[in-house]
Amino acid sequence: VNSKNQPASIRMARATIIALLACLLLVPALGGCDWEDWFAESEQEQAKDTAQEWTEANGLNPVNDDGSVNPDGVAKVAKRVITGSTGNAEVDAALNSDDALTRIVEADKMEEMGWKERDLTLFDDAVKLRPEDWKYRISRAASTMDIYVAPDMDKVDADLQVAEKLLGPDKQERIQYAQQGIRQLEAVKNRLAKTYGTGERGDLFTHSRPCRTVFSRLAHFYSVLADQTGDKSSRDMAAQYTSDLSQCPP
Amino acid sequence: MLCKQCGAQSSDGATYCGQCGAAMAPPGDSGEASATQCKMCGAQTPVGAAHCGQCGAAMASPVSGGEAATACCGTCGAPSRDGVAYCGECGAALALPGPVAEALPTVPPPVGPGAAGRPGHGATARRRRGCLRTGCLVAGIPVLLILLFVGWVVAVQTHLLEKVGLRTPPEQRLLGARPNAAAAEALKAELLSAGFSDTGLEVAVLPVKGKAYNLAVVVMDASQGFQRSGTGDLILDCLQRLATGDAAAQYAIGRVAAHFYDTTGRKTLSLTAATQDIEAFAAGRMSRTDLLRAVEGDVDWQTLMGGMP
Repeated sequence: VNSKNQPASIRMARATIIALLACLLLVPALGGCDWEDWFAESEQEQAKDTAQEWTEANGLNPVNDDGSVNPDGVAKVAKRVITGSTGNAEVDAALNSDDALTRIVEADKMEEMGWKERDLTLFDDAVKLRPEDWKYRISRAASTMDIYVAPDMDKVDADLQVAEKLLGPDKQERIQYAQQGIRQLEAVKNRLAKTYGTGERGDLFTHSRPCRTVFSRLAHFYSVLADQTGDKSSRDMAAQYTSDLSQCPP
Repeated sequence: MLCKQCGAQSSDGATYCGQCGAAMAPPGDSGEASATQCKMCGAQTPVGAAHCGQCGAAMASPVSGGEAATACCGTCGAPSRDGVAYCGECGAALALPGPVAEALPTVPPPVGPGAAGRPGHGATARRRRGCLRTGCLVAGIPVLLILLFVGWVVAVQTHLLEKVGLRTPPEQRLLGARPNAAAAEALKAELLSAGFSDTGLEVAVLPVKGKAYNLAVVVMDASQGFQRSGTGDLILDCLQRLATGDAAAQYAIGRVAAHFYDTTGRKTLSLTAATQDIEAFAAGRMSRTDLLRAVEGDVDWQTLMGGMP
């Protein structure tokens, strides 16, 4: 049929439809979209498919394909529900490892607020959330010395000793540990001994316990850092702080 | 003989009234003790006589007064009439149907001769013993066991034991050490290069207590905007990248775990596998089905059965 013989309105409608189709095809192409993305399952659907495949592979489906009850699947699921465990503590820990991450995030928030508000109870909360994490022990020890004029040095020393015991063998971890200890105890030392070097003796040098703790622990942290990095300046600092111990009152 | 308290007829020689439990006058206190009344003519007839001396009518038996004795006292064994609440012989409460038994008094026993109190002494204890005999415990033990079982399941599912400090969760016992930040960054970079979005994605590497290797953890939270461009199996692809990438070998990743949260923030799936199993799958030494069997997991059954939102 010759299109010239058609009414103008039909020709207009046809042109509009063609233009709309062209736009539909051009939009994803110009937008850099991948055709696969358009037809791909959502992340949720993929997760659900994997979950179904996993339950089928392990015979965990309580209901068969025909709708009948699968006694073996029901028994396996019931066992998990009743015991709340896979029978392997390491696997149980891995399956709940997202909770561990949540606790880390919470403890970090507490620690940050503790420094900001100079509130020791927030550090206590952080330690409660992650009792086997040295990070919050070092922070609590340093903040105790930073906040209080007469800190409970038994508590400070205990935290620093526990932190050292909790330290693992991993090189990166040991470097992190040393760097945190150096950063936080240097700040405490600078505040307590700010007049040191001008002929006057700061608070740090008038009390034996805080003085010995700060210098001995700084020597320890620099020593750990030097061991991991081989850095000579860290080794020198460790030696310097060891000799500074003699500056402390008996 | 007649009860002075309520006027009910009791068997001769009864110490307590069978109707109200009041103490009966001892034999010899009145002339009624040696004689009984004929029902036909009302004449007094000696106790034990088979027929009335006046009209010759048959006398009722001494025990029931014409009615059959159908219940025996559990304490003394004496027969009693139907419907009486207390044994006419010893005053003990008789086993009665529920509502009647419940209405029995539990007052202390009459003190002193002639006291008109009801013989409630030991009645409650006897009812309890009766309960044991009649199977209250037999019915109670299964109910108790069911309640304990339900309580245990609820405690396990709500982590009640952990909350009250009776048990330390395995993730706290084994994953308490400081996470390795450098390893986490390296692993995250590998996932980002594979099309995983930075938003809603958390990666951590946690040392496992008592083990020489680390656990790599990935949390994909769609409610926080997690997305991935490209196709393929999201979760298994994620586990494979964590276990077989360069960072896995560098940071001694021995196990990987992936968690997926849907757009409502609900955890729908957690899977974990040993690195060596995933390596075997990646190298073609293990089929996909065998890998899935080697994988341990937790699924949200409600989501799985009802469909994800």
